Amino acid sequence: MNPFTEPITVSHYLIAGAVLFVTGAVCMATKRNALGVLMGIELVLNGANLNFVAFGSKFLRKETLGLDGDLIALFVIVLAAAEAAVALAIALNFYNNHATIDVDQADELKG
Amino acid sequence: MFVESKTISLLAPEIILMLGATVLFLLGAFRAGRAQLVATLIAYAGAAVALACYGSPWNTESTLSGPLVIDPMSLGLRWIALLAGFIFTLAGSRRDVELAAEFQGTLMLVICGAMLTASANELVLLFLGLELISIPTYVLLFLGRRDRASAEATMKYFYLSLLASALLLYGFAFLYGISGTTVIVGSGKVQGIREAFLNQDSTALTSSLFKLSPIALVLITAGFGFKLAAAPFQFYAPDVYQGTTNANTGVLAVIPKLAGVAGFLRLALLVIPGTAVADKAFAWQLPLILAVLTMTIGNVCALWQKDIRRLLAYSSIAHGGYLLIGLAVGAASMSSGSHQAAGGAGGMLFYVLVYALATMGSLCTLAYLGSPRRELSGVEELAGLARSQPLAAATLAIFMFSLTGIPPLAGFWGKLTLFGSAIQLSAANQTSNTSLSLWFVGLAIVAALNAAIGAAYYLRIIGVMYFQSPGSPAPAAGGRLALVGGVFCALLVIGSGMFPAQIVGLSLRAEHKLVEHAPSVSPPPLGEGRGEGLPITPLVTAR
Repeated sequence: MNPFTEPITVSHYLIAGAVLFVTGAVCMATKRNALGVLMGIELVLNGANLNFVAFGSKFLRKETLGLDGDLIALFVIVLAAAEAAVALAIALNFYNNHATIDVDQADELKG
Repeated sequence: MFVESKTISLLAPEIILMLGATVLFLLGAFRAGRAQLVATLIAYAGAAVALACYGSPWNTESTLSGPLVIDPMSLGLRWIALLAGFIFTLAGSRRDVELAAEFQGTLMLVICGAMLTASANELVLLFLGLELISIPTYVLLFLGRRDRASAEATMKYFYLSLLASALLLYGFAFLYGISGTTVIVGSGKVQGIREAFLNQDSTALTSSLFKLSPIALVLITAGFGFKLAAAPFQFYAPDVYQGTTNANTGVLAVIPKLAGVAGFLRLALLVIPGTAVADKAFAWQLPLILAVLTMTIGNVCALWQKDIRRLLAYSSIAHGGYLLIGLAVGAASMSSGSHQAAGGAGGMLFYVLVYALATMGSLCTLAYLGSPRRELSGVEELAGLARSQPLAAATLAIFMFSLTGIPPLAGFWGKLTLFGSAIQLSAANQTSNTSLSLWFVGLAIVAALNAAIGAAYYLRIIGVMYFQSPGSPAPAAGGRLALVGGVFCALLVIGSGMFPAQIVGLSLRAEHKLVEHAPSVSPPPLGEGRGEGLPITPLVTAR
C-alpha cells in the first residue's frame, strides 16, 4: 500500500485525532508550567473535536448526519475558551500565593 | 431543528435559577447585605414551584421533548439538586463573608447544571450540563479562601477535572460516530443511540464501527467515574477537600456525585448492549472491579485521617464505590439481553439520595461550627462537642450513624437495597451463569466487609464528640442558618429511614421508566424478548 497514492479516509482523521489526544495527555502529565498544562488541555479537547467532525463526515456513511458533529465542535471550542479564562484566573491566584506557576510546587496537601 | 416552546417551558426551573444568579452577581456589586440572601431564597422557591408544576415524580410518565426527558428519575434528581442548593445556601449564609453574593450566584449555576444533567437526553446537553457544574465549581473553589492551600486545591481540581471532561468528550465522540446521532433515547421515527445499539444491523456498512464501543464505554466510565471520585480518579479528593472550606467541600462531594449517577444511568447502561456483542463480561466486570477498588481504597485510607475534611473525602470515595455496585448489577443484567437493570439502577438512585442528605448535612453542621476566619478542620477539634454544642453534636452523630448504615436510619436502607440487588442477581444466575454468580457474591462480601471497616472511623468521630474531654471550644460562628440546614437534613435522614418504602418504590419506578424500551420504536430484531428478564422482586415493596 503506497501512502502517497491511497485516498485519505475518515479513519486517517480518527488516527490524527487519537494522536492529538495522546499528545495532549502526555503534555498534561509532563509539563511543569501551569500554562503548559493548559495547552495540553487544548490539544486533548481538539483531538476529541477532530473525532466529532470526522465521524460527522458525509464520506463515512450513506445517509448524511447533517451538521451535528461540526456544531458540537463549535460548542466545545466555546467551552475551551471559557475554561481558559478561568484557568488564567486560577494560575494568577496560584502565582500570588506561591510566586511561581510551577505545578510541582503544589505539594503541601498530602497525607 | 427548532426548539419548541414546550421544551422551553420544561426548562423553567433552570431559567429561573439562571436569572437569579444574574441578579445575584449584580447585587454583589452593591454590597446588598440581606437583600442577596432574600433574592437567593426567592430564586430557589421560584424554581421549586416551577418544578412542582411538572407533577409528582411518583406518577410521572416518561416524556421526551427536544433534548429533554422528563421521567421520575429526572424529576427526582432535580428535586435533590434543588434541595442541595437550598442547604448550601444556608451553609454559606453569613452576610459578613467577603464575596457572599458571588458564592451564592455561582452555587446557583452549579445547581442549574446538575438539574440540566439530570434531564438531558442529548449528548450535547449532557456535556454542557456537566460543564455548567464544573466551571462554576472552579470559581467556587477559588472564591472560598485565598491562602496557599486553597490555591493548590483549586489548581489540582481544575486540571484533573478538565482531563476527565476531555476523556468523556472523547467517549461521546465515539458514541456519536457509532450511532450517527446525538439523541440518547429516540422516539417515534427518530433513532437514538439506544435504538442504534439495540437494533444493530450486522450487514450495514457501518457495522464495523460497533467494535469501537468498548473504547467508548471505558472513556465514559472514566469521565463519569471522576465525578463519583471512583478509582483511578480518586486521589484528588482528599487534597482538594482539605484545601477548601466546609461549604465548598459539601458542594464538591454532593453535586458531581449526582451528575455522575445521572450520567452513568442515562448513558453507560445504554452502551452496554452494544459492548456485549464483542465481550459480554467486560461491560459488568469493569464497574465491578472499579467498585471493589474504590470502596476498599476509600475505607482503608480513611482509618488514619486526622483532618475531618480529608476523612470525609475518603468516606465520599468509599460511597462512590458502593454506588458503582449498582452500575455493575445493572450492567450485568442489561448485557445478558434483558431490558431490566435488576434493581441496580434503583439502588444507585436511592443511595445517592441517602448519601447526599448525610454528607451535605454534616458539612453544613461543620460550617456552622467553624467561623469565616477559621474553618474547623481537625477531628480532635470536635472533642467534647456534646457538652458545648449538644444540638450540633447530635445532628453530626445522626449523619455518621447514617453513613455507617445503622438500621433505623436512611443509610441502612441504602446499603440494603444496593447489596441486596447484587445478591439477588447472583441468586438468579446461580445455574445459568455460574461465574457471574460467584463474582457478585464476592462483590457483596467485599462490600459488607467495607461497611464494617467504615464503621470504625465514623464511630471514632462520635466517640471524640461524646467521650473526650473538651479542648478549646469550637467557634460556632458560621451563622445560625447553617445549623438550621444541618438539623433539616437530619430530620430528612430520620424520616426517610423510618418510611423508606415510598422512596425505594420511587427509585425502582424511576429505574423501570429509565430502562423500558420506548414502545413507539420498532422492537429489536435480535431474538431478545422483553419479557424474559430476571425475575426481580424489590426488597421493600412499593405501594
